[in-house]
Amino acid sequence: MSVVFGALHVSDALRSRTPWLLQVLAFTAVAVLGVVEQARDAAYATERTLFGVAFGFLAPLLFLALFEVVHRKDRTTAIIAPLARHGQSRRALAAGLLGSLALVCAVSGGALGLVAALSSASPTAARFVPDLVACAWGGAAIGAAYAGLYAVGSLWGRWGRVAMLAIDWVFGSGAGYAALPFPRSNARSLLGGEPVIDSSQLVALAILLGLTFAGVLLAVLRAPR
Amino acid sequence: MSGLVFDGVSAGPLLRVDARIGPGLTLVSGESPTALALLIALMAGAERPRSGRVRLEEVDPHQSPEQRRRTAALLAREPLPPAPSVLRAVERVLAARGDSGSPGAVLEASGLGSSASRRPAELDPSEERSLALALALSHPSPHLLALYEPFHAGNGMTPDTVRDGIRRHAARGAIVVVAAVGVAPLRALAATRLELRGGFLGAARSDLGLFRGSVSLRVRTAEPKRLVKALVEEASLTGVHFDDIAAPGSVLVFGTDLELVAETVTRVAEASGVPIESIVPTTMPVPHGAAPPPHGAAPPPHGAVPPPYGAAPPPYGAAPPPYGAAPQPYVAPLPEAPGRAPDQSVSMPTTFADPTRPSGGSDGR
Repeated sequence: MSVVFGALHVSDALRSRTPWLLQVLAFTAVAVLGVVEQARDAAYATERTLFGVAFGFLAPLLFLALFEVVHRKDRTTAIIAPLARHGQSRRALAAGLLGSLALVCAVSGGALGLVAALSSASPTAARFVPDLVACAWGGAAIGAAYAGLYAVGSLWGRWGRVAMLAIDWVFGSGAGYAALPFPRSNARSLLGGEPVIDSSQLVALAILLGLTFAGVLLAVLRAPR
Repeated sequence: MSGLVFDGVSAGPLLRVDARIGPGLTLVSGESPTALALLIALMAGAERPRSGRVRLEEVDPHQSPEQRRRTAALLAREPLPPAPSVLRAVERVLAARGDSGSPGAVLEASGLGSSASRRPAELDPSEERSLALALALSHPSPHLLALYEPFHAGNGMTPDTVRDGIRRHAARGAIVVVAAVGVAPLRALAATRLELRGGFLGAARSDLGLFRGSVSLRVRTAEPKRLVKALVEEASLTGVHFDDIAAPGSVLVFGTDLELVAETVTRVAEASGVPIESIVPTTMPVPHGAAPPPHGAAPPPHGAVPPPYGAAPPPYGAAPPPYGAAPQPYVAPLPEAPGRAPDQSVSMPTTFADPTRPSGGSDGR
């Protein structure tokens, strides 16, 4: 029951116009820049769109905005407090809320990957459809990983989330050991860019999924019962 | 059932709280709204103490959803859970505590029947508290009803409705705690009285809080307000108390000498043309630092040894006095809390923003 209440919280918060407007803006920006990249130089246009504007810049900000819409500068435990004090488990509420947010971020990331691929790839290319599929599930995994990162940041409220974004930006831009536990570096690796410590895309995917579960689990377990 | 137990609890402005509160009504008064609000939040499991333990029937309410489900509380701030409408938010709260009650009925009781379709974020703090009070009082069978300033929770519920709700739950055998700066509207109800002062919780020194003096007279008159206005200038009196709700026809007058107080009241009433129906002494002189007597008991003998301030309230399990019985009037000089270092006052804010207070911003001290 508490998990459902947590999910309902996300669904109610995302019913407002702001998150939809943000998504539309992000998708439009990615689509426009994808078309520009394609027109400028068709070779590797999809990669440049994905690494550059889509998942290198807009996606982390979009996922942060989704967390902000739901959390409104607060910690996760603060926003579930009104129902927790009436007898719901804080951990179950947090699991429902953060799990739903991870799902929303995954869907949003998948859609963003799809838009990037659609706008920048030529429909006549040999691997057009497989690329679309790969960009969609890759984007979904990246979205979920950022949700895990922001779930941990939400232990400290807005500044925690912003700090996570900054740390991801600083350390995730590299390819060494320091970049290993960050979505940014593994997203790049998964999408065919520079690998982290020469690991495979499979490892990058595993790390992204691990970040999702570890982040959400840590945030849930840190909440009192 | 072991009641509600505070075991060496400190949190924020609460320096040390040791208490065992049993079924029936307990009134907690104090000077700091912040401390009183925190005390209720600790009872409700909404906050966790910095140190010490809070136990409701041997279980920490902060760690037990089941215990919180059986607790009805009114906190200082009562944001509703996010929902498309106020009605849906109330529905969600009722579902959260496993209550099959009607959300519409709760809204009507809080005076917000016409706000059902508004968004929860559109309610102001006063309306939120009014709704939370209606939710708390409508709880079918709470083990604990903990209310912070229930008589300053918006205009939705009349004092009589609130008082009846409190009385009903106390009569059921629930632990009912009301914390407020002034508990005057509940003075007519029999209750255990505690006082939160300087971060410590102890037996109340006086039903009348800040009014000091060794003697007092209850003056019955048809024009109490005029009498109060005339008496407040008198230097021979130490205090005048009038409560329009609890005792509309009575004025309590305090001083140090019974004859002088009586003479002053008569003289002033005569001079101002206020008709006096009766003048009755309400207390015996008590020595400095005397402990408050148990309610319904005779005043303490002269020279009684006072228990230390912060001592446990009356023994749990003792039969409460009957409801409706007038509490034994008691006035005592203010004893100092032992071990209360002067610098402890820094942790007790003298002012704070509290939108639920009638003044809207400050506790006025």
